Amino acid sequence: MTSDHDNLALLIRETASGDRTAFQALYKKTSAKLFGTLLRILKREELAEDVLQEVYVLIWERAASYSAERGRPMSWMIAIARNKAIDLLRRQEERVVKLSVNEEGAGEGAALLEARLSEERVGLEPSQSMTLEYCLTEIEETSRECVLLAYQYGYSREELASRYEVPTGTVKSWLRRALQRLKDCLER
Amino acid sequence: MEDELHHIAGEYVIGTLSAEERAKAEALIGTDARFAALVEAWERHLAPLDEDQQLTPNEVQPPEHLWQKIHARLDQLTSHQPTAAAPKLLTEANDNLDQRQSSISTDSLRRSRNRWRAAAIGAAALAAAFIGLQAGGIMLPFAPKPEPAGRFVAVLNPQGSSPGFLIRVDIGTRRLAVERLANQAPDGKDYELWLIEPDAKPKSLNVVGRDKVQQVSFRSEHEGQALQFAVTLEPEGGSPSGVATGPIVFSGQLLPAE
Repeated sequence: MTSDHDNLALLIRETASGDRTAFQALYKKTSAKLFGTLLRILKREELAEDVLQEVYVLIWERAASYSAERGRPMSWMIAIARNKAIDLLRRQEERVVKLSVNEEGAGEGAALLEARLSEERVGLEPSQSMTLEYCLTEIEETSRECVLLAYQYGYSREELASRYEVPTGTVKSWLRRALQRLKDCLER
Repeated sequence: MEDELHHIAGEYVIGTLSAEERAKAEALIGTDARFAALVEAWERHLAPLDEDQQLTPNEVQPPEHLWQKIHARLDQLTSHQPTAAAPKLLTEANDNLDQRQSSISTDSLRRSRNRWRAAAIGAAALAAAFIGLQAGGIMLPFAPKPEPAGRFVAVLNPQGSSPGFLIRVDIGTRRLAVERLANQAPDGKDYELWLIEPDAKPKSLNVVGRDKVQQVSFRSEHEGQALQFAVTLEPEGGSPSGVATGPIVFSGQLLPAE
C-alpha cells in the first residue's frame, strides 16, 4: 500500500513538471476510482464522463500544489472529484427546486430526485480508520447516516429531509450536531 | 465564530451546502488561509469514507475515449498558455473585436466601441465577487463596489484556466456581444449561454459559439453587477427542455468595463 501511495505521489510530481507520460500513468492508476466516485454521486454516466474530464484537467493544472501535507495522493484527487460533482449537483438542484414550483419540467426534477432517493446502503468498512470509525459510532444513528449519505452519495439537505420525512431545518441541526461531535472526537 | 467556520468547512466537505453557500465557501478558501486549512482538515479526516469497500459503485473503468478527450483538452490549454498569457490573450481578443467592428452592427455597440474594455478576471477576482454576501450567518468582510452605469464585461473562465468566452454587455440596450475564445464545442454538442439572475432559474440566451462573435439580446430587471453568465455543454441545438442538462464549462460575473 505504502509504495502505491509513493508511486502516485511521484507521478503527481512528474505531472507537475509537465510530463504527459506520467500523467497518463496517473490516469490509468486512478481513473476507475474517480469515475466510480463520480458515478455514485452523479448517477448519470454522461455527467460523470464530462466531470471526469474536468477533474483530470484540474489535476493537471493543480499538480504542483499537491504536497504530502494535503493527505494521501488518492484522497487529494478524490476531494477534487467530489467537489466538482457536488458543485454540479447543487446547481442542478437549485433548478429542480425552482422548476417544481413552476411545475415546468417538474417531471424531470421528480425523476432525478427519485433516482437519487432510491434505497442505498450506508456502511463503513471497519478498520479503514479506527479513529473515524470510532468517532462515527459516537454520533446518533440517523445523523450518522445523513453524514454518510451526504459524503458518499451526494445527498443534499433537501433530499435528506425528504428521505427521513422531516423539515430541512431538522436536517440542518442534525448535521450541525453530528459535525460538532465528530470534530470534538477527532481532535481528542 | 471559530465554531461557525468549522461547521461551514465541515458541511462544505460533506457537500450539503447549497450552490450559493458553496460558491461563498470556495471564495473563502481562495482568500482565507485559515478557512482553507479547516477544509483540508475535514477532507483528511473524512477521506477514509472514500475507501469503504461496500460503496456502490466503487471502481468503474471509464470509457476508453475519455483519455483522448482529456489529452485534447491539455493540448488546448498548452496552446493557450493559461496563467501568465491570459490577460494578453484577452487584450488581443479585444483588439480583434475592435477590428471586426463592422461585423457588429448595433449602433450602441459601435458608439461605444472605444469604451469597451476587456478586463481579465482571475479566479481570485471572481471569487472575491462572491464575498460580501452572508455565509451561514457570518458576514464576510468585503463589500461590492457601487455600480457605475453603462457597460460591463464578463469573462467566462473554466476554473483556473484560460478564458473561454468574452461577453460585452450594453446594459442600456440589453445587448451582448459574445465572443468565443475557446475551441468549438465537440462534434454533436453545442455551447449554450445562460443568464443567471438572483433568485431566478437560469434563462437560456441561445446556443452560442458556432460563430466566433455573436450578438444576443436579453431581458432583465436587474442591475449589471447582479448578473452572472454561464455556458453549458449541451446536445447539438441546445438543451431540449429549456433547462441546462450539461455541465457548466464556463462561468463568470459582470464587471464594469470602464
